[in-house]
Amino acid sequence: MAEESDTDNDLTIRIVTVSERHKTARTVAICLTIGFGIAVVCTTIVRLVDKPPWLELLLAIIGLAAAPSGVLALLIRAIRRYTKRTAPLLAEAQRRDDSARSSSNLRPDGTDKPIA
Amino acid sequence: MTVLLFAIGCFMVGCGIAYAWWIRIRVWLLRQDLFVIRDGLWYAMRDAGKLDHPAHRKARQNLNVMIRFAPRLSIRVINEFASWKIGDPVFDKCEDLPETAVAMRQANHRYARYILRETLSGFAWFVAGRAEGTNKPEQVDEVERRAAAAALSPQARFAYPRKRHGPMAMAH
Repeated sequence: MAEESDTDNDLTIRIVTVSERHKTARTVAICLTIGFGIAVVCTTIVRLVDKPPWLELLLAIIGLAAAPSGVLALLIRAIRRYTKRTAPLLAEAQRRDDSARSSSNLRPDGTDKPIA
Repeated sequence: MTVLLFAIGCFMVGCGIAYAWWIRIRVWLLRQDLFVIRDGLWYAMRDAGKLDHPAHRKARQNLNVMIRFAPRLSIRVINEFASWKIGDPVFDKCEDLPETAVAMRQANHRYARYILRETLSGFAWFVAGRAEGTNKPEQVDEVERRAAAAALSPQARFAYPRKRHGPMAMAH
C-alpha cells in the first residue's frame, strides 16, 4: 500500500512538473514574442523617423497592450460577477430537489480555489 | 522592408497579447460548456426521476473533476499521462444510462476540442499528426480518451484544495 502511495505521489509530482513546465514555457514564449515584437517596432520607427516622437511611441505601445487587455479584463470581470450572482441561485434551486448534489468545488465566482 | 518589419513587429505584439488573454478565456469557455452539459444532465435526470442513479452520480463527479482540472490540461500533460501505462479510470458506471453516456461523450469531445483546437501546442501536435498521416477521427478519439483519463486519474488530485480532500484523497 505504501509503495502504491509512493508511486501515486511520484506520478502526481511528475504531472505537476509537466503542467508547470508547460505553463512556464508558454509564459516565456509569450513574453519573448511580445518583447521581440516591441523591439522590432521600436527599431523600425527609429529607422523611419530621424527624431522619433518617443512620448507618442511609448503611449502607442502601451495603448496597444493596454486597450485590448482592459476590454478583456472587463469582460472576465463581468463573467465573474454574473457567475457569482447566478451560480448560488442555481445551486440552491438544484439542492432543493437533490440534497446529495456534488459541486465542481470552484469559488462562487467561478475561479479556482487556491491549492494549500 | 522597414515597413514590413514594422508590420511584423506589430503582429507579434498583437499575437502575444491576444494569446496571453486567450489562454485565460478559453478555460472560462470550456467550463461554461461543461456546466451546461452537467446542468442539462441534471435536469434530464430530475425529469426522469433518476437523480440518485449511480450513473448520474458518477457522471456528475467526472464532469466536476473535468471542470476543476481544465486549467492544468495540455497536450504535454496527457502525453505524459499516456506514457505511464497505468490503465484508464473506470468509465463503466457512466455508460449505464443513455443520457449520462451522451453527456460524457459531449464532455470528452469538448475536452478534445479544448486541447487540439484552442491551444497552440495542441494545434501543432494535431497538425503534425495530420502531416504524418494519422487518421483524424482516430486521433481525436485518442485525445478524448487520454484527456478524460488524465483528468479523472488519481494522480490529478493535486488540482483539488488539500483542506477539503486531504493530501492522499482521490480526485474522484
